[in-house]
Amino acid sequence: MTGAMGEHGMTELRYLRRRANRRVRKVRLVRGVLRWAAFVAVQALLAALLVFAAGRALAGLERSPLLALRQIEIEGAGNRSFSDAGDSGSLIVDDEMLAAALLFAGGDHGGSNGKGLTYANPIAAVFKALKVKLA
Amino acid sequence: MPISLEQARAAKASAKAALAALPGLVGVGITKVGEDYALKVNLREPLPAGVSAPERIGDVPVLVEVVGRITKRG
Repeated sequence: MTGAMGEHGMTELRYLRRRANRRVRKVRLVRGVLRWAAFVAVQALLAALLVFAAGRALAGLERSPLLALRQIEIEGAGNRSFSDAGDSGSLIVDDEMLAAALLFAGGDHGGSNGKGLTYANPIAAVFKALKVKLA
Repeated sequence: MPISLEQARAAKASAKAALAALPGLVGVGITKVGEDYALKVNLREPLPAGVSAPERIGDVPVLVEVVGRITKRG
């Protein structure tokens, strides 16, 4: 082991070191391939989970009571817009002052007067979505 | 015979995919034009040249309106 020539034409010590190095390289190669395979598997799993989650979210949106129960488009009477910034959450009442819808959005174009349109959720849909009742 | 609400609802369901392909679509709903119920297609901006919305889905008329950007009124 100290420097005597072995059967491989080199000192026994050099031969053993070379064998050991080869084994180490082999182990590193196997670990590298395993790490790469694990990385690819994790990425594939994440992508699959993302697609699954997006599908579930879209399906949930389709079943949402707010969408299923149809939102209402309203235009202002005369030469005014029905709503303005800050009006979200306003209760819209009918001509008997009964709750009809909850205002949530609008725009500044469109409508027969050109002053924009307002969008609201029917009050029954709001109650259903929030699981509340009027006392 | 006027177009009924049920006819308009059926047309809306069947045309959902085709109308969704319109550029700048912000909403599809049901409205009334005279005695008839009709589909209402809301767009953020006018359709580009060469692109048009269908005038009818089956017997149900389609009304197109440019309503601009819809935002919450917060």
